[in-house]
Amino acid sequence: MIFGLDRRGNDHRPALLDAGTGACVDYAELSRRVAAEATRLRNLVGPGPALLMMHLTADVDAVACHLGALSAGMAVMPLPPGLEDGGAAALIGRYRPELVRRHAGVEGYEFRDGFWRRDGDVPPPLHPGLALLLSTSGSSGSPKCVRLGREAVEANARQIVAALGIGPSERAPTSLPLSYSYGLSVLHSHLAAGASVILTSDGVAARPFWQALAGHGATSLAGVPASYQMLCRLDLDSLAPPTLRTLTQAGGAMAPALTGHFHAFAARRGGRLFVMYGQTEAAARIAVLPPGDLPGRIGAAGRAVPGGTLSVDPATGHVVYRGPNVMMGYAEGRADLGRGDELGGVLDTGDLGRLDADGTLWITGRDLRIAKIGGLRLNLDEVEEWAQAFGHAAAMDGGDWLGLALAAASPPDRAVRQDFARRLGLHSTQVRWLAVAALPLLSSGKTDHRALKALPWDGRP
Amino acid sequence: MSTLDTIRTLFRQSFDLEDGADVDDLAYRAIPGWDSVGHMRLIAALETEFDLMLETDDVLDMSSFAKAREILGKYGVAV
Repeated sequence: MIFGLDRRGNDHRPALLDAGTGACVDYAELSRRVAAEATRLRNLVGPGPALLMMHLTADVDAVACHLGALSAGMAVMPLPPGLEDGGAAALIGRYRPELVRRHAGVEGYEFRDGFWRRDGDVPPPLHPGLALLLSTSGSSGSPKCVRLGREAVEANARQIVAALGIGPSERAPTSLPLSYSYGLSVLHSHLAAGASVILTSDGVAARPFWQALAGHGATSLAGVPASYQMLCRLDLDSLAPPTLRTLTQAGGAMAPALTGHFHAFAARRGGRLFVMYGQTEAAARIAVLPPGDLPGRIGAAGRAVPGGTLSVDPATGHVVYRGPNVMMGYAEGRADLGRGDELGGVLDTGDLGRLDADGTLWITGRDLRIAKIGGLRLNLDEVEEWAQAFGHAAAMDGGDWLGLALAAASPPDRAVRQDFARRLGLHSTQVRWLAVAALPLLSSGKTDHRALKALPWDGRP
Repeated sequence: MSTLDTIRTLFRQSFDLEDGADVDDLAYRAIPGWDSVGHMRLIAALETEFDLMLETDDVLDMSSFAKAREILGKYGVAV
C-alpha cells in the first residue's frame, strides 16, 4: 500500500479527522478502507494501469478512494476545484480516464459501483509507474499536466517528513486544496509520518475552519503568500489554538515583512516557521529553509530536501534540482501517459538563482514567460494564445496582475473579460487589458517584452 | 444609489458577478467566487467604501449577504 499504510493495521492513532462529519479514522481503519477501495477499483477496471479522475475533496471518502487507487497501482488525476462542467468534460475528453468519480454524468461512461466507467473504446495505455497527474497551474486554465511516478510521490513525502521533522503527534489541517501539489503534499507527508490530518474545506476566512483547528488540536498550518496576507489581516494570534506552533509557507516568494511577522508569531509560541521552495514538477517540495536561519536569511528559498541536490547552471543561470522526487515529464493528453521517465531525476526549474557556500538557495528571478499571480502559475505564451481570440495579443507579468495588450480598437467588454479571468482562475481586477494601435515588436518580428512593460498599464478599461 | 444597492454592487464586483445579478441570498462558498480570497476582497471593498475597520469576529461571521447587512448595521452603516 502507498505510504506503508499496510504496516499500520494495528495502529490506533488517528489518521484522518473529518471536520465535516466528525468522523475519526485511525490508521488501522484507514488501512482497511484503503485496501477495500483498491479491491473495488480493481474489480471495476481489471488488472493493468488505469487512470482515475476525481474531485479530491477534503473528506474521508475521497481521500480513501485516492489512496486506494494509488495502492492498487492506478494513477489519479484530481480535478481542479471550481471547474465548471464544460471544463471537466474537456479534461475527460483529453485524458480519457478509465474511471471518473463525481456526481454529474459523463458521456460515453456508465455508472458502476459509485464511479463512471468508460464504456467501450480502449484508449492508449498508461505507463505502469504513473501515480499522479497534477495541473501545472493550479487553475482550470491550462490542460497541461505534470506526470509523477509512484516512487517520486512516496520519496517526496519522506523528504518532507525528514526536512520538517514531522512526528506522529503532529496534526495538520487541509488549509489548501488537495488538488494543488502543496496541499496534497501536506496530506501525503503526514500519512507517511503516521501523523494526523484534519480534513476541512472551509478555508481560513470561515469560522468553522478555526473551530475544527481548535476542536482537533491542530499543531501546524500550511499557507501560500495569499493565505498569510489573509492571516495577517485576520490576526492569527487571536484565532490559532495554543497547540498551533508550526507554520509552513510555499507557493511563491512572500513579502519579507510578512515572513518576519509570522516568524515572530511562531517564535512567541516556541514554534517554527518553515519557508519552502518547490514546484509541482518535483512532487511539491525542493528546498526548506531551516527555521533557525530566520530572521537572518529572510528571502532565502532554503536548502535542498534530504536526498536532493541543487545547482545553478553556469550557462543559463537556471536553478537545477536533482532528486528522487522529480517528475517523469509533462502531458497534454492521453497519448503522453504511456511515456516513461524523460528527465532522469534532473529538473531545470526555469527559476534564476544563486547558492551560498552552505547550499542555501536564493531565487533571484524567473523565466520571463512564467507569471505567478495570486498563487497561480500562468504560462504567458499559453495566455497569449487564448487571448488571440480578441485580436493580436501579448501578455506580461505585472507582479500581482496580468497585463494583456491587444492590437484592437478597444478591450473586450466586461462580461468577456470576467469570463477570461475566470478561465485563468483569476479575479477580473487581476487582469489589465490595454488596447494599442500595434504591439511593440523587435526587428525579429517577435514581441518586444521590454517595450511591453513600458506601456501605460495603469489605464483601466 | 441607496446604501443597500451599494453593498449589492460591492458583492457583485468582489465575486465577478454580472451587473444586476441577484446577490441577496448569497452565502460563503455557495458560488466559486466566494472563497477565502473572494471573502477578503469583499471585506476590503466594504471597509474602503464605508471607511471602517471590521473586527476579526465580524470578518469570520460575514458568511452571507444577510449577515453582511446585519454586521454593517452594527458599525453604523444604515441599511
